[in-house]
Amino acid sequence: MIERVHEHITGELGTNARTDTIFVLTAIFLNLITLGINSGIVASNGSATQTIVMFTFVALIIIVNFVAEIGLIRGRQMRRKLLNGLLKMYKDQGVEGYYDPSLLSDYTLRYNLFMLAVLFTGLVAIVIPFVLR
Amino acid sequence: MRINWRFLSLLLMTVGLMIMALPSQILAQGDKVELTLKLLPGYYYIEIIPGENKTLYLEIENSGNKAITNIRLSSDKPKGWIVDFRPESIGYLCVGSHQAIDVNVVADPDADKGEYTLTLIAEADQTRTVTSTVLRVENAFSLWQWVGLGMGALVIAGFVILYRRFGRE
Repeated sequence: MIERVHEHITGELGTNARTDTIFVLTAIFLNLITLGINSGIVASNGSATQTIVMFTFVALIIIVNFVAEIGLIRGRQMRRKLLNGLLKMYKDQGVEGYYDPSLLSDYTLRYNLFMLAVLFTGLVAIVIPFVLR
Repeated sequence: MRINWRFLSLLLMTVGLMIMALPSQILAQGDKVELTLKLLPGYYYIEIIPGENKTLYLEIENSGNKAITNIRLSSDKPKGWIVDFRPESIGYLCVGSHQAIDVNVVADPDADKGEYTLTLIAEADQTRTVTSTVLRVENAFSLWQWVGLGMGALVIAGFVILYRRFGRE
């Protein structure tokens, strides 16, 4: 049974990693695409319609970035819980020496860096077109 | 002696034409009046901030072969702009001589970002010359830039709130 639980936990960790990767890549890709579109709008003589389109894209960036940030925060918490369970299991089995608990803090740091990357590309995508205008 | 009337009339016509054409040719060369305006150093595209003074350097040259008198300087400028010339006029400019003029331009403080054409006019008793340049208004900080920075600040604030609210273990 313990083997099944172990498989379940490692499976969950894999799914979690894939979901977080999708969140990060989607947010950064969308931010860069929107930066290009909005900068293009600004370069042409901005009419009222173009301004509305620009603000719509800004709203899209904000929503997607917030969704990605929440997803990453939740993903980090989920990973921590799963790894804690895994560590406890290893301790019960007497093999905890093979798994360094400091990996938990390394994962936290990595998630914070991902969130920072998403936040800053989002900020650039929002602010730069307005500065160019 | 027989007079060749055909030859004589041709000769008289030629002489008459020379008498008529020569003095006017001499007069035309003597009356070459040409005034040249040049913005230094080869300005074409100048940036200006609304409300701030920008000095352009204008060189005026008598490139003809007759002295030019009473040169008045003026401008055709966008609405709300101020353009001053120092000196405002030149009494006498002899052949081949130059005169440097400072052109102080102040763009309308409410001018929108964009390109504006400024035309400089030199009008003398004998001639009139015009030159123009493009001035690009660069707003130090426009409303849109404040909007962008405000949105950036809101996003950072939102992120901090999200991080504190959802980040609790």
